[in-house]
Amino acid sequence: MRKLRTRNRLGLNIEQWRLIDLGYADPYIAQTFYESIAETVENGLSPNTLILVIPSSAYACIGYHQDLEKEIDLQYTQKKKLPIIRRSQGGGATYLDSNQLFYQIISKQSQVIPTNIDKLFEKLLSVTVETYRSLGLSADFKPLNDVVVNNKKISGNGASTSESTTILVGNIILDLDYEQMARVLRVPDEKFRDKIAKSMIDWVTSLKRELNQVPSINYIKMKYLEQFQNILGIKLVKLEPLEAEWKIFKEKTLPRNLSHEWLYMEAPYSSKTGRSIKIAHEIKVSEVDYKTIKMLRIRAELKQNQILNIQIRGDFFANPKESIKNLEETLAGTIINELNIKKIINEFFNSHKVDIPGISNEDIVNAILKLVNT
Amino acid sequence: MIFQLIKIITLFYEGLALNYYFLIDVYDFMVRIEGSDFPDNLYYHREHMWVKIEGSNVRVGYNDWAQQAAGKILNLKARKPGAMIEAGKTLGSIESGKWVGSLKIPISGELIQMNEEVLKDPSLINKDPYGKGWVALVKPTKITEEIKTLILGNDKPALEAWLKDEKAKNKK
Repeated sequence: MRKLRTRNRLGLNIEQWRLIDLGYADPYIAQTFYESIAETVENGLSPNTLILVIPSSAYACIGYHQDLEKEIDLQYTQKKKLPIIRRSQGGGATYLDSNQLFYQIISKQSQVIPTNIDKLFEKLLSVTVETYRSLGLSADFKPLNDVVVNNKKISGNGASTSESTTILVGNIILDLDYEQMARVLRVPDEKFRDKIAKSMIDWVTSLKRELNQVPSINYIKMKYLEQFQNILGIKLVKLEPLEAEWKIFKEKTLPRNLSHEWLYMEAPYSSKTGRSIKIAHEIKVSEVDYKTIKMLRIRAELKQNQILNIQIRGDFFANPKESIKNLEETLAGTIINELNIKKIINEFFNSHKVDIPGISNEDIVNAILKLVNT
Repeated sequence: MIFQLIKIITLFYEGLALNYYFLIDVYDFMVRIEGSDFPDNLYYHREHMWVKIEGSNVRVGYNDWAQQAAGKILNLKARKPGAMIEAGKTLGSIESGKWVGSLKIPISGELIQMNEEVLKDPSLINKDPYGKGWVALVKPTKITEEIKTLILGNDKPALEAWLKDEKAKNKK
């Protein structure tokens, strides 16, 4: 493999990596050009590479194993002419635009890059953490692969391994369009969308929100590159992509990513029920329907298996009529397991003398338990 | 009465003995290396899938060390039954956390069956990698030559040497 090496002050060999700064680039280049680089790194034509790039316009992006039609509101994206790109890393659907600075790290057989995935995320995301800290934020790494400020997510990251090459992609979030982030997702109804938007506001943040202003992009890049070289102990050499890499992109990478087959790729079978959107690290908004004589619809914001807040709706009426609201408040903070939920529901129904024709205590318990499998 | 009591006590100890010998049986067939289990009646590929010969077919899965290293497996996507596959090439992809990696098939042949239960619940690979978490059934086409490239489960020194290499790579 083509390796760049130089010597540090002690005369010891240190790795040199290539830095490619693509500036503002078309969404397909921003999201997929690194796959072309990964090919040349794998084949030994190119050294280990860091790419910095900002998408010049907005697009929706789905994870490798996701079902496009289940995740994205295709009617909306078609109406707004928003491209949809499937990435080769995992994770969930998201909306990306010019308010994120992407870093894309492509390496093979590097002494400074852990092969253990947990350690890979920890080391490479420490660059992101230190970059934010140098910009004045109290950022922290949260395993498996999150960067948080005041417990709010401030970076999205994913990784993949192809043959012997590892790719880690992530972003520095300059600003967020919460409305668009919720709008591109396919949801059962607009109330669910409102809930997602609210949850995103609660759990995902940006430089603009934390600092009330965004430092210049060049300054942010400078800070990121400083931390990258310091933490990894390597030297970056700024170079342009090879002609061969652009050829691979035009002839292979781009056509694959534009193809119907790739975009509409069959997702793995999923036994999950209901609809669930992951907002940040442990946070998700989920909805399930439970059919008995009547219909129950449970919608909740969950932190792992803990209910942060919950709405219980359906084609029923409750007596007294404020009992559902009171039950929702009682359930907030509860860990979902059969014992807990049964106890709370039974005690509530008994003490408040609640009557819901067509819906039993057990129905509500079973409906709530379904949330775990979303 | 006293004879019935003796009979009960005898049966009890016979039962204990049977269990004891069963446990010895199980652990006799299992090689444990640094916290990971390797049944000694399987073959192991360096890309982390195991192989079990079942008559004219082979069953494959993901070994215990690899499932621990991957973490909780959230998604698994694989090629469809009927596909012809080549040893060392990709059978499918797995996802854990937000990492996506390839499943490299250890044996060439025709993919006969994917484990539907694992496709529905990929975490079965974590829970029971050698039992319910098996991944695929293959009709091999080059078993005689390819089996020689795999590590036999009862070759503990070879398993240890291979794992030592893997652990060294993953310690960084």
